[in-house]
Amino acid sequence: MRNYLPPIICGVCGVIMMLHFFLPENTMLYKTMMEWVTNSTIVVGVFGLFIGLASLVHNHGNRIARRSPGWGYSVITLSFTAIVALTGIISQNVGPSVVSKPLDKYNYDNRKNQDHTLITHTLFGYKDETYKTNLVAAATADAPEMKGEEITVRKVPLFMFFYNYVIMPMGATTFSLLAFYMITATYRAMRAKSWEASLLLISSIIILIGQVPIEEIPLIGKWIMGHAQLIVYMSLILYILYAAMKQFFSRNFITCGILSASAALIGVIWYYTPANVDFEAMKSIILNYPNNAAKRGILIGVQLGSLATSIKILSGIEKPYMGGRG
Amino acid sequence: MNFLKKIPPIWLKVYRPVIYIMTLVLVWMGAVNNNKLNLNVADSTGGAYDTIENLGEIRKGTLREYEQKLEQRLQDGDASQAEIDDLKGIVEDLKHNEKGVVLICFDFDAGCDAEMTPQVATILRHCFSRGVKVLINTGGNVMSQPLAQQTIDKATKDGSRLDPPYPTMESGVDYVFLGFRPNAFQLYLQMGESIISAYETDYSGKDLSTMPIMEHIRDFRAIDCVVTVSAYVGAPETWITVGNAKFGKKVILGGGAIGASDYYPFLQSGQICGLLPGLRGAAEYESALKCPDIGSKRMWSQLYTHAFAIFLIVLGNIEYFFSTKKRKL
Amino acid sequence: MELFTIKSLPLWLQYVNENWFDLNKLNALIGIIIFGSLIVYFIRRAKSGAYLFVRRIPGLESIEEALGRATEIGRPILYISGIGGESDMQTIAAMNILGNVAEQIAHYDTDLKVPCINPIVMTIEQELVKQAYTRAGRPENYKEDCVYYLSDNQFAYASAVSGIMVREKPAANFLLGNYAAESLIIAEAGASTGAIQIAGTAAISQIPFFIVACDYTLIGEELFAAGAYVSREPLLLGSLKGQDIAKLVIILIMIVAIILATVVSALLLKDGFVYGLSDFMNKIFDLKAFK
Repeated sequence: MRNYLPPIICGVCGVIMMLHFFLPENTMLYKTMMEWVTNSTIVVGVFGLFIGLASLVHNHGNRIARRSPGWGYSVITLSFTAIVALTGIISQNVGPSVVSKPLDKYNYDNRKNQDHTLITHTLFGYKDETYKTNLVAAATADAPEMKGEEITVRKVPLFMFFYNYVIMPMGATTFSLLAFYMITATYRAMRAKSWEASLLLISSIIILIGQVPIEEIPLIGKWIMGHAQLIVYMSLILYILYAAMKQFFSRNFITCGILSASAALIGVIWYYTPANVDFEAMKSIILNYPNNAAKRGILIGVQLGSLATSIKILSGIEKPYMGGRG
Repeated sequence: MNFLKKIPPIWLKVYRPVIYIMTLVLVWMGAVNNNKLNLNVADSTGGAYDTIENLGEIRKGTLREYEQKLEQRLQDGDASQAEIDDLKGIVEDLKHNEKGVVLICFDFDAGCDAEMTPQVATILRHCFSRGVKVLINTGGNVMSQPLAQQTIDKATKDGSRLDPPYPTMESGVDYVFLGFRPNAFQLYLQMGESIISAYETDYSGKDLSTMPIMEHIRDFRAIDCVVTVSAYVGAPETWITVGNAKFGKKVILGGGAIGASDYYPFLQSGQICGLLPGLRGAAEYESALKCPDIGSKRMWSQLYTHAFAIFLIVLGNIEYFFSTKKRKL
Repeated sequence: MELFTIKSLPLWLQYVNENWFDLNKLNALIGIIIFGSLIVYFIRRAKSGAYLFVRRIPGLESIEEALGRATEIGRPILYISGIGGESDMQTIAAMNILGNVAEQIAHYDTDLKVPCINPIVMTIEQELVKQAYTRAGRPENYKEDCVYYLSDNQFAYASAVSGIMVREKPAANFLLGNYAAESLIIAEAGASTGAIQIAGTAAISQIPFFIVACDYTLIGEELFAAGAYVSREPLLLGSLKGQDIAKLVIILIMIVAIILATVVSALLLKDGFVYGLSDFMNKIFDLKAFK
């Protein structure tokens, strides 16, 4: 029973979902199945939440009990899980309020045009009440420039305090690490080690330059973009001439000749090409043609792989839910 | 000349902190720069802007289509009364809100706030300025809701900065924030039947059926365009499947610069009509709207760090070139 | 000229289209039947002992090297199956590989750590690892808390995994599955500890980050082929071959369709056999072919 019941359930549910895809959308059967699928997914998801919570408590509880290295972090994890969950669950209108700072200053043009809003956090609960008041004392304490002006006070739950001042900044901080990692990865990885790497290097430079208006950089931006064509063509010609010279000293005269002719050809092309290199157009060409072609190819392969994996699971060839090929 | 030979080993030890500090300094330099940045609007962003500008025409086209369909069904004589009533209902709905109706899916959380909030804020301002009715929902993440509420609150009061300006927008009349419901894909399909039955209340708990905006926006057919600004893998594809393939609506995608490159094939094939790639997309949209805001401001940081990245690539290749030369010798 | 319209079909087919089967999706059904048949055919061939060639995938060849290195150094192995849910194909592919890797790890008696972002994936992987240890004949080495749940928030998970990498310094990191923005954070944290890293994802935008920061990367389809490649089971190899042949069929259809479309637009054809064939080829993959 243990061995054949899960694959039967998997297969039957899979076939039902496949049949559901082929049903016309106006039929009652389609709508009933849709409702059944939606409700089942929600129920399973909620049970999954409890399993996750149980695993978290079990794991960190064991670390605290055994005083494993870093058990203090487990204490913090469990206590904050409990605190934030409780503040979210407990109902409205209980407890005092805490006055906090005024809402911010995204508008760098003119703060006076903003609606001044003071956020107060109630200890528990949520109430969508706003009222205008002339809280001069509070305004003076938190934002002196608002003295004498009318402000709106909105009550929001303490749970929002955790969201606004803990979760949001921490999420943004972790995401911003990417910028630093990307720059060091760029420095380490973008080297012309082979011709494929050189191709990657050249296309990444074109897209980096096309993405931002380099000419806006103070002092040097306009000079760089004004001489972009010179820089690009001269670098290419010099590099090819250097390679030609190496071939000459290695006595590969034919290769040297071919490379020198290529450099001359590039010089001729340079002479006849228009004044400025349009990096934005080049970026668009790279994104719209080679990028799309490669992505479509990978996408087709990935979708076929997914289809094959689905067929294997539905037919019971692979049973990951039973521990592999169990 | 001996000290020059000592530079490479020292550099290998300290390059990471040096690069991190330089990046931080450049980002700060960009943040304090208050000058305007001149940007060309790319086709991908221009497509999004033009779609919102022409929503009225799109709506008229949809109305004509349904009127023709109703006429055809009446002529055929074999349609059921329910079908005729349904078609008459949608034709009636489409005659209202002639400036257009947009559904904005706010599908990201705090981590992606820097890149994507400017996109949503600018699109909201554009819609409000043109009199377009806006429905906003959050896709697969419950944590997007407070961020969405803050962005909406700001955009509804920003009318004086635009041309033409707009007054403070009212929830339930000019826009409605639907909030989060689980199981996004099934929810979107249910919206094809009835938006009110899918959501029932807005984010603050008010009944949708009492709101004036929902009177003539009963289901997906009354929506002209879907704008989805998403940080999650798979979410834009859901909207392309549901919004474009199933309901035939215009879809505009917004997202981070990295993820946006995945969607150029869809732009080329016409499955989406606009794409906002990251902060650049937001800044271009602000340029198109002639309302520079945080998107344009943050582009300075991106400009300086991109230039630094290019410099590092050149430096790295020079270093590699000399190190291979040394190895060959 | 419209070749396919609902009105042009017989009445009984129109009835079927409205009540039982959406004819617009007939091409999907035919595709599934053809694809499934190819897979079944190649599975039978594989079972009958025929040799099915699969090209070398460096990332998968190095799994044993990575496990051996971890055993020698005496440090644990970290296996991360991405941030996808239990219904995500990439997560399922990663779980298939986990089964094989866990079986090898059971033989080496090395510590395995599998932090999870999804509680349901966690329960499946717990069962998977337990069964793997049992198959290897080492059920007593299985540790209950080697597969555990961290957080379902993407960046909280990335921070926790980075912390695990820096504190516990695993010798080998397997980053297989669906990844998003946290891929570079995790990969760079692993690279900074000097671990050997094998990554694989079908999320195209994350592949460059893995290539930069990891030693071996499985790109796209290679992740789905990995289960068959590592285990070399006939059933799995046969399905991999079927998948490849299906890809070949799609490529051939695309080439023919491109040639026909080019001829039609060059000669400005609006009628005739060639135009009809081109229209048919264009509609093969269209899920709204019938209007």
